[in-house]
Amino acid sequence: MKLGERQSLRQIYFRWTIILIMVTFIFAFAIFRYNREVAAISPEALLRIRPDGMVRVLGRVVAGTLNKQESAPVFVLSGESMIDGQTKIVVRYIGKPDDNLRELKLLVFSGFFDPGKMEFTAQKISPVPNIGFIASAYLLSLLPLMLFLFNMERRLIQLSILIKEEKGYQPATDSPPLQGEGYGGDGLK
Amino acid sequence: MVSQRLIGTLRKWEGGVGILAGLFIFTGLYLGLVVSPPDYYQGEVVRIIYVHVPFAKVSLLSYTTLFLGSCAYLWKKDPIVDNLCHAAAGIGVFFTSGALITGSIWAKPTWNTWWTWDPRLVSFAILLLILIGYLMLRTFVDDKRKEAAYAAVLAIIGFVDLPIVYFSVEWWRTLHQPMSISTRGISIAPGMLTPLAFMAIGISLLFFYMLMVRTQMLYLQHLLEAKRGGLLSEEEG
Repeated sequence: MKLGERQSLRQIYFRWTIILIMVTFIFAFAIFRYNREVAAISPEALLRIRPDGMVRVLGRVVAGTLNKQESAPVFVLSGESMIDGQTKIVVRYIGKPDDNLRELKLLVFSGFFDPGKMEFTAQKISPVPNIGFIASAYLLSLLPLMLFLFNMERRLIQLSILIKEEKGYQPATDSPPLQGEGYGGDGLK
Repeated sequence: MVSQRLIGTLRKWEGGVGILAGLFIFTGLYLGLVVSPPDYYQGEVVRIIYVHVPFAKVSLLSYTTLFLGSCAYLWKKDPIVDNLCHAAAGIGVFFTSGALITGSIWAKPTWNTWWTWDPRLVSFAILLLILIGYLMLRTFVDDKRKEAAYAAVLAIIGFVDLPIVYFSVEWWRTLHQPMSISTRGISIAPGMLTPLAFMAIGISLLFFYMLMVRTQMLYLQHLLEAKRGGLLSEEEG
């Protein structure tokens, strides 16, 4: 092995800077997509903001209110937590039939709010995003992976430098093994 | 010298494999986090599949490498093969822990529990314990040759857990879903399969890259110890 040709630590740091920049870009894209396509507001925020365009509302279908007899199912949606759970809005779902639409289920409804009728017309249903679980799974797997790999690469360079600095080292590839290089050698006994 | 040649080969392929792994992982991450659709029932949380499954597959790959390497070591007694096994075990512990952690995080919103005594989960946890036991055993024995031989025997015995992990979802009715890709066909949407394939290939290549780096690292560590031992005995002489 030609130890003299080993990459320097500076090269490792440069490579890892590029890797970190790329990872940051991907996560920034993911956060941008989440805000644009997934993030939802509570029924309380809906009543407060009263948005004109399409909006996503996260809430729980109140037990005993789901009426599937009509052409479009109608039900009452309450907030998720104890604090905003008191706020309730009437929702009319006009989208395709969806198995996820069940009482007591926490769901995201995409649609329009009519402040005059105080009714929300939903066109699409999505399960709860659970973004915290996704973020923690990625962070707890990829961050340690990067640290583990970075540490290994750095250690390899450091060992190469240490060996190079040791006296009497002969880097010739066709030379006989050093004493103790193989486990049969005396040096490792 | 076989060891020198093997180390030379590892060094030669290391850079290419690393770059390829990076490209696959970055593409897979982008497709998985930004492009791929959410699942009908699970919604966005299905995106955990793009880290959980590749980590789990690589755990099995690392143990298979450890098993094959251990057989090769007992046959040839080449110390560099033992370094490779030692490296595979260390990386295996990392990926097995990662698979268990991401699996647990995925289980909470889908099964409403962090952990359940499901055959797949239990056999996977046993795999982690075997790997930890393997690494612990290596610290208990002073004689390097005996250490390598004992560790190889343990790795070969521990291999019995691998088919249990792999087929547990087929042999028993479990909470864990069966294999999405099997001889029966592919039961995953193409929009999800593409990022999963990219991540699986990328993480597998990364495993080989890590194996190359760690094997060299352990080789140099032993070389340094041997050189220092040699220098000390020269001084004593």
